[in-house]
Amino acid sequence: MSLDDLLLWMSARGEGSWPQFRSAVEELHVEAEDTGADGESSDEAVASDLPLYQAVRLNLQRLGHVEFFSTNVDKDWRVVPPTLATSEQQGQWRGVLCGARFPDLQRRLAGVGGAVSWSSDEITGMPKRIEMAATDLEELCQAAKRIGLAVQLQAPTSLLAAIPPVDDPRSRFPAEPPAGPGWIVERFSTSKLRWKRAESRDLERTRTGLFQFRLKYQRFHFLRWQGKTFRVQVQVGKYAVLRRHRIRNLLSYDRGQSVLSVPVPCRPPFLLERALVLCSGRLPRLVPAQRLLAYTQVPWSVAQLAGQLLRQEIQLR
Amino acid sequence: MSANRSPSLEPASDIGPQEDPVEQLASIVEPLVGGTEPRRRPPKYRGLSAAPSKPPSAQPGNRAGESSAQDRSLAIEVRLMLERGGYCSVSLIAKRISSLPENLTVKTADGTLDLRGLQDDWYQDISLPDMTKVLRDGVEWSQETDACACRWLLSGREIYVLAGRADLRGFISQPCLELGREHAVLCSERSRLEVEDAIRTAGATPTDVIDSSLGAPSGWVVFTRVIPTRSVPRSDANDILNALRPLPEISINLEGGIRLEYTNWLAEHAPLIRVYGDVDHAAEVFIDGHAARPGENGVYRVPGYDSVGPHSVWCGGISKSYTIVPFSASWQPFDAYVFPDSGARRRLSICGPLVQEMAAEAPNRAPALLVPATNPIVVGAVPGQYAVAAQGSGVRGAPCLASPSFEPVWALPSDPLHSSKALVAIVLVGAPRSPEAPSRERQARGHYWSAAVEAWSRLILDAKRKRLRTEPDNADTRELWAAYARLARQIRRVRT
Repeated sequence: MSLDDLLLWMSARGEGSWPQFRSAVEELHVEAEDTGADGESSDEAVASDLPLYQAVRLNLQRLGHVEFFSTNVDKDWRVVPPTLATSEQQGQWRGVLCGARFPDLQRRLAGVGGAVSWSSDEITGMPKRIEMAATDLEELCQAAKRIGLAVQLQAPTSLLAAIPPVDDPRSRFPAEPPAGPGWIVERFSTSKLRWKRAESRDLERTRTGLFQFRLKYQRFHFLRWQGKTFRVQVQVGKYAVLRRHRIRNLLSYDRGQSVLSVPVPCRPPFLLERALVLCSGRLPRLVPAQRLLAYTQVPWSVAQLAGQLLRQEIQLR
Repeated sequence: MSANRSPSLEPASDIGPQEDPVEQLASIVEPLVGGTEPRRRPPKYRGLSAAPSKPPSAQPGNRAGESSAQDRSLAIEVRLMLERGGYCSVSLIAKRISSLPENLTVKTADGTLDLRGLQDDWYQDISLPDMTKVLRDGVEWSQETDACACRWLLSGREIYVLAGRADLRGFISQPCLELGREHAVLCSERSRLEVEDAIRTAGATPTDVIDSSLGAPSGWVVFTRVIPTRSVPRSDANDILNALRPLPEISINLEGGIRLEYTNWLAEHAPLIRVYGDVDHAAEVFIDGHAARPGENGVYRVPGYDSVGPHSVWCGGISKSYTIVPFSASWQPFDAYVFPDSGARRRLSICGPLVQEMAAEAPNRAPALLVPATNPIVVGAVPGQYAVAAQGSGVRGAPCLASPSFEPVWALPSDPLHSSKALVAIVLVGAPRSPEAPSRERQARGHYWSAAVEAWSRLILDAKRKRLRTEPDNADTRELWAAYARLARQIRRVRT
């Protein structure tokens, strides 16, 4: 069985609970596939160190198929309406299919014809990548509507234009770290790009820094920013403290190949990464020798905007 | 950029009732005696008796693998995962019952162990450091709360029989081989010869072997693709090799497909119907009352077995039912992530790749349209269709997002008269729709006098007066823009 079956199951259900999702991953016999390092939940771990269902969940989220744990939704997960995430590349409009899948999708795609082409690729670690393409945007949009897809124009740039930079107050929330015994406290080292053991009192003493509180399966991340404590998404916090410590050379861009690379421990924050992934419809590729994650088919304008949001300069190659 | 809930936190279990898959537990489930402290040495597996064992689910009043309220004694099963490159991994997977929490800490002989809920019926599998000893000697875990006391047990042994299950990936330990079914057999090196003989006696070939160099615990080997074809009488004594002697019992299995819930499978993804046991000597297999013959890979089918509606399978006095349901779903955008714009006046929502204004603030919202930061005003074809785009990220030079309730045609600067002609253009952002003059009826109702119409016409006339170029800068676009300017002028005349 494959992730296509899982996505179809989720599309038919529409929404559900976390245990139901985990049961489906088991029941549909989704195979464990090592798709590279995963720094979302576990910073130094590779995907194979995460439970399979967590790795599957993160990939479905990155690709914009399903949203998990949204405070505005009653259920633990909900499928995104079928949407064509378009972007312009080299004079052609391309659209990556995100969200729900339905049984006669392939038949409807085959019936599009005209100047609109489509392709479907089997790629490890994700549901089939389905792409539509046309030189004329209007034709692409009309074809998508005939199939029953919503259209998000210039999806990668639109996502980036909607989210605040890593050091923006909108990216963090005032909070207090947990008290009580048993918590393992670690501080993110901006020079080594990894967690180092710390004491909980270090947090109070620090003006700027990122701290991780661990207890069994729980992890909370707290950013000390100008002497105040905030709850923050871990990757946002990393880039915020990196910026504060004037480390600005983490991103590199290959203009010839349109590939944006980041160090594995500095995976971009979640929604920003979704924007990079939607440029190609592919998950990032792990470059083990350099410990880099490579995002392909990223236009220079998108890479630039991503760099601005991460407060990083981009090294051109 | 912040997720609304920490990805590392998992919600409490809220799953509803699910169908109990047929359980066949390999572990001996003993009544709880002598408190809940784990014993140093769990009891040894004593082998199956000659009489066929009833599966736990068949016992009245018991959920599969779940003992009564007084003696919550649960099984630990062995799980084998076959991985790429011929490797394998062996882990332990503990049973869970509804009254147990999703995450818990159990006592072991050497300390404590954290278990995490995988699904309603199981905890996440774990691999212990010394699996060689664990498999041979067994393990016992316990947990005691004010409400109940539980014990988990894996009895030590030299041979484990494992097979696929509907609810879990990989191969899971079970009491014994079943005819016609694919198994894996995990055994100690010292019992290897006996096991090979027993597998051959059951009509299978013990040729696919994984040893410790490929992931099997040290001193253990795994035989894979063990498909017994002959029933073998069990010895009268409690012989551990009885686990490798399949009985001619019949079982109907519904495998694969996409099960939506309970016994409902999705149309075009019906289950594969397989019958295990001594099928040759059993009565015929019937699906929906029609005799069925096994086809490729031992799968039974009759015409219409996968059509929408209820179905039943019958063989040798046992039956199983399933229902095929059509795909029926609809999806609406929702506010998965919400961010205030940089001016904190409006809120933008993200759902997958969709970027929109928040539903509560823009009931007729549409996917947002990118406009250059220099052109934050969008206008539509009807006078009065005028909206200001939001500055989402707040990053200097980043595009703005317009999410108007109308179909936008142009993006204009907010103050055309003070714009730089070299840097700013009149941008065609939508389909090239001609402007629509209001009907006489709307004119009569004073449409021309609304503030939105005033803003629409003033902005267009200012941009025209500044002689900003159009983008794209071609004859068609210039002509379309001129038509908008004419209508704006006409409105201005009426108003003055």
